[in-house]
Amino acid sequence: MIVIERISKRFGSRKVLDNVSFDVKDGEIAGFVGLNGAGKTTTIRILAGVLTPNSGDVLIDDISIVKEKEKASMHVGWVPELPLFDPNAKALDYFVFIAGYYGISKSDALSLGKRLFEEVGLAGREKDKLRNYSQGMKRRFLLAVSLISDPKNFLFDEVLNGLDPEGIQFFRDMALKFKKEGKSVLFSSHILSEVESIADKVIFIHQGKILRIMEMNEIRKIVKSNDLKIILGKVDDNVLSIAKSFGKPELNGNTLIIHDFNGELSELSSKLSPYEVLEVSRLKNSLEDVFFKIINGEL
Amino acid sequence: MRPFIYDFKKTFLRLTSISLLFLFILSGVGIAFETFHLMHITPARYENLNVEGYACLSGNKVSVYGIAFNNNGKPISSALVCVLSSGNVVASTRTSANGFFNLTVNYSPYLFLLVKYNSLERNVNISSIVGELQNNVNSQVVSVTIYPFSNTSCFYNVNVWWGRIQVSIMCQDNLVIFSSKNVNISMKLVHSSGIVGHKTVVLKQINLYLKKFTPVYATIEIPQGVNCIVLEQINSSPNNQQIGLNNFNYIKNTAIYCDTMNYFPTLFKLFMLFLPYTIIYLAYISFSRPRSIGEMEFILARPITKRKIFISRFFSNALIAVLSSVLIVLAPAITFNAIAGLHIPLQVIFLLVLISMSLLLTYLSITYMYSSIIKSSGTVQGLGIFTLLFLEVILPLIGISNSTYETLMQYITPASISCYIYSLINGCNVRINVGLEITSTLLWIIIPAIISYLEFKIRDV
Repeated sequence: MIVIERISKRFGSRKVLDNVSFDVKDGEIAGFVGLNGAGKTTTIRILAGVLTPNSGDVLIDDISIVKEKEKASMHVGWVPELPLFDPNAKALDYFVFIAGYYGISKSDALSLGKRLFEEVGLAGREKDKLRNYSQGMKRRFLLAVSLISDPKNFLFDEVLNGLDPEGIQFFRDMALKFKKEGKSVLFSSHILSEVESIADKVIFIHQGKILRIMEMNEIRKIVKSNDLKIILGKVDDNVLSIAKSFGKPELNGNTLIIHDFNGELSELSSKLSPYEVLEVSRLKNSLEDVFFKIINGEL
Repeated sequence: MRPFIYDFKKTFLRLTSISLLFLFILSGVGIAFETFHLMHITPARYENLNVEGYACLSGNKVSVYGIAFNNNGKPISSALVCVLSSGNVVASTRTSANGFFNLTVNYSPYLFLLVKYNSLERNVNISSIVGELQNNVNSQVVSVTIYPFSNTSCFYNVNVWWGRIQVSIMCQDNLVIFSSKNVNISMKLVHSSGIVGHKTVVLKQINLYLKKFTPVYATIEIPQGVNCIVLEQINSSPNNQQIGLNNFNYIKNTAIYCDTMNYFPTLFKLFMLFLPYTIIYLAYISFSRPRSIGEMEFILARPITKRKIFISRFFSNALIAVLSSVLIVLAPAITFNAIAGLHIPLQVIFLLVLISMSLLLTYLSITYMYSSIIKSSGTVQGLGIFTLLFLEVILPLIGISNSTYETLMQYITPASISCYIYSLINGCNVRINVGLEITSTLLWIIIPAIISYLEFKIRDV
């Protein structure tokens, strides 16, 4: 479990995090959403123990990363967005080097490395230099490294950036696997549809402040709308007048959108039958819409 | 293994660090060879075989009397001694237990004495000596005339002919006396304070018949500060010819040591202008670059704190600097010993290690300080090199043109303790405030290290 307690951080005179508090429970995936420069990466770097907050504290499984960093770091795995390693090192050698910090002997680290490389889909590429890895392979390598101490908490910082669909699918599956295993995952991403598909809750951050923390059920209620989309075979001026009695219509080419639909769908279908109804569906808002509504203070 | 120990070990054992140690060993060996090269030193100057003696002509016969001894002044027995005429051996013998030999051959114009021991050999052109002798003899009537010769290494503190007595003090305290006359001599050791006669050594062994001379070997204790030896004949018989009193300068160290210690520190100083760069590079590889490429962050996400990373890396590099300092001095010292049998005293090695150690630690601290303040590793390396050039080349050049500034330089440059150490090694009296030099040297190491630590602690990686 990750608990962030009122952390603030300054870079020089610029305050990048202001009293940030939230938690990620065991067996939970928390989406961490915000614009560029909102403070997502800074928050994650503090959680990883790389940065020290100016105030506040972070508890990783009830251990303060500020006061007992060495202990707390054993319980958290960090997959950064950028490849922060020596590019000239060979993958397995570097893995063994990092494993040494966890007190793992070379022989144990080698066998652990081989197992984890296989688990993350890097089997056969252990002896390659890291600079020869693709973007996706580097992320997988970072994931393997984050698994060294078999931590209960994971920090995924924009791990989906620049990945192909297979890579995205892989990381999504890994996050869901961790969740199943009762681990907590903080998942920051710009690909909001991915966050939406896996997160149990979403933390919205903007200009260093947490704007809202919403459970996915709550978000789903918001994104559910009463707007109807109808694709017609042909249209004329009369279509709008028919639709007006069912809500607020809007015609774009052959697509009729009725906002705040109020009426019976069968009745609408029969009235529009002369216009050859090809498709009828309900419109949904996306997480992106919710995000911008929150930023703009509409929610 | 604890992460702190692990990081220390990994930093210490990285390829760059180990390569650096080898580089310092190679540099040390290079310095030793270059020292010998500059001294124009040939094997004859250090071979562990010395020959002294005299030749005398009687009618058509040439007799050669002599002794063979090693660089410590100990007699060499069973050495092969030959007299060659036009390259052919005409007489040969082996040295006795006290290193003594004598051979008599017919005179010829190309006589050479050859002394061989193990793979070493020394030769003396007898004909040229006797030839000169003959020229002298022609004009005078002398019953027995002797002419001395010697072919020795430079492992002597005193090596003189004085009134037909050859006196050699080899390797400080081992005395070899070989005389062609019957005499007792006294030896007075004169201290630098000017007090004469602190110690007197009386040698009674030389009262022997001309053809049965026995060389005298003795170990005498020469007190610290003796700079002159006074030899005086003690009359055992009123008929003996007086050879008076003579003073000989005594140097505490052997001639070869003095020569070596003239060139070696100069070359050592020259190397010390460049070798700190290797430490700048080591600090760059171990600390500045990982910080610059973000690797430090990656490591910091492991169970180790910033403070411990700094301490482990700094002290690991410092240990390399200390070991490099030892190697850069020890390697030439071992090379001198291996090639020539020259022994550099431990205190000199220790003093030279102090110089290199203080210099390397200073540049290590300075580079760490830059690395903590500046994230760009390229800039850190550039600044390190500039600092090295400024402090070790530009500033001393300015000092040359300004004597007041030069005096200040003794206290404001890194490793300023070297001024005092070099004066100690060379035995010069330089007016230096040693306390101030030690303080300055330590501050050059400690202050940048503290700034570096504090900056690294405060700043984000």
